[in-house]
Amino acid sequence: MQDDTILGTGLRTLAQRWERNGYQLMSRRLEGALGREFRFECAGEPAMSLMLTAKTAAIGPADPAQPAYATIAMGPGDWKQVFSGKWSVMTVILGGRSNFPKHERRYIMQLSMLMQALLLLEA
Amino acid sequence: MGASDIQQAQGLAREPVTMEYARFAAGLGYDALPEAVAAVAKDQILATIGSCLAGSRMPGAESLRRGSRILGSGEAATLFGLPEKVPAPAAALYNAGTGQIIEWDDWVLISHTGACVVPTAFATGEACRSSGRDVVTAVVIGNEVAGRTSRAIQRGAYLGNGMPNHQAEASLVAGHLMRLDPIALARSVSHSAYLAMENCFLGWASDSKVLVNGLPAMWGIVSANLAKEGLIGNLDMIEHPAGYLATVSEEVDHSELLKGLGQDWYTLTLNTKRYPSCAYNLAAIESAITLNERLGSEATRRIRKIVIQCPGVTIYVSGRYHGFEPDIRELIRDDKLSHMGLCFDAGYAVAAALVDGKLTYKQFLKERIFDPEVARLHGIVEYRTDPDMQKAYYKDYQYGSRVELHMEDGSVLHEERKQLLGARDRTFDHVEKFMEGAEDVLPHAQACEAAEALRSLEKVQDINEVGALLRPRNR
Repeated sequence: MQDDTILGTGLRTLAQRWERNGYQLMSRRLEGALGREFRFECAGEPAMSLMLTAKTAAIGPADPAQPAYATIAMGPGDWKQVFSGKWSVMTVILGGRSNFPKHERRYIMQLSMLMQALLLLEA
Repeated sequence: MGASDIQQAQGLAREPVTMEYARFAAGLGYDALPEAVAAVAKDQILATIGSCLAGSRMPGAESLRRGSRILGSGEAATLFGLPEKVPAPAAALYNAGTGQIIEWDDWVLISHTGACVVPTAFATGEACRSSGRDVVTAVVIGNEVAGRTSRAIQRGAYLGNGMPNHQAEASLVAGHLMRLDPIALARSVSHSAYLAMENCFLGWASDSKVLVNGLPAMWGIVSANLAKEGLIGNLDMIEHPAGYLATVSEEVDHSELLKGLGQDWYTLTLNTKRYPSCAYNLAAIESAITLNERLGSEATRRIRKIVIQCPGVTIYVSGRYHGFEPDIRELIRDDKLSHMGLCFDAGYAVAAALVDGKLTYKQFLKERIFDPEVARLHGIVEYRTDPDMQKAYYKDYQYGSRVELHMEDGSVLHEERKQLLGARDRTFDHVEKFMEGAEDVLPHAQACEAAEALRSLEKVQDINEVGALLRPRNR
């Protein structure tokens, strides 16, 4: 059954684009976001996970027994803006509506940059 | 097996970076500088002081001036663009603050050095009655150290001007001019860096951001004085696993810290912003100014949509403050934030440059921020990632952008710059920047005289002579 949640739809689009165009965006300075599992949470929806590699993007239900590298949680309205590419994850964090734990910062920033750049890349 | 053998075996052996920097700072003299290095440093001083003069026109500058009076009184160092002199730490705080209050600064490799090292060197130099040659040398020391420390932490959480590395170079700049010996210089770094200052990302949308170089500049001078009076500090604060860089960054590449020191001059990599804004926005701003020249200001009313094509990092910095509630414009209007967030917003800068045909400190005053046409254009900006520009940025620090104007009649006009004006491979005459900064601050003849003196700093016996030219005479 097709997952039509905000996270499901958004992450599926992101994963498809990553596997098609992600290589165009990579740099050594951003590669810290690769190979790490990020947990995505949206109020009222099941949590999901994302792990990027240089060529692949694995998405799926978040495993509560498996700690993710970082958790990015925000409300549905903010996620819609993020998946549209209009905002980055950092936009919501600086808006004060998502957490930014110190030990997760640099890779959240890198993932944030990669996500928005990817979503605004003309296919 | 001795301690050093154990360290070797565990891969923990470290070079004595702090002491090497201290010896470098103590031993370097103007005569040892390659001519090109001294020339770039003089350009940097000229352009930075131009930024400070322009910044002195911003409302926040007056608060800095009045607020820093708590640091004491005394005729030691110049507040660029103001008549009075104050103690050196206060002058460094003020000048470093005005040097960045509209993001009109520079960077060496990936460290925004000018707004820290120039105010620190100038204020200390005035207090010590240093020669122009010594001040230029101090600025080079600052660049060389900051370039290397920034490279070492480039894979940490901070980018560009957020790099928390200035506490290392500031005290060395001051200590060089105070003629401290290497031990005292290393101790000064310890005092300067002990309370390692990381910046809060949120503060980049308010005037708090001016402290990102202002505090290290001020505290670097104080630290050098503490060391001069014998306060004992650690001699390995920069490189130690429990020291400065390891505290401010998750990763430290120690191999960068001493690479080519004294031989490979990082000062030569200076990039100077021609327009006030985040570096990532400058190519778009120049494109917008050219579009204004082509179209004329009235034609902006026919613009239906603006598209900025750029590397992802430009989009990232431009949109960071779009999620405030209420939105950033409302917060600025109510003095709950300052103009500062707009200094990172390519869309705002392009809108203002399209309407006004220029981008100076005036475009960051409320009068222009709330101009209806500037506000309208700001609201119709869209961004697209350009993969070639993305690659060029990460591969070779090419800061490109393309601005497209989609007009009501369906036509599309565009301008593009592959690299920002002021990059190391696309330079401009730094006198232009100084004179633009001085325009509303110093009488024209005095500004010309000051520019000439700054251009030939190596001939100046006492930097106070130049300081006097940077305090406005009656206009």
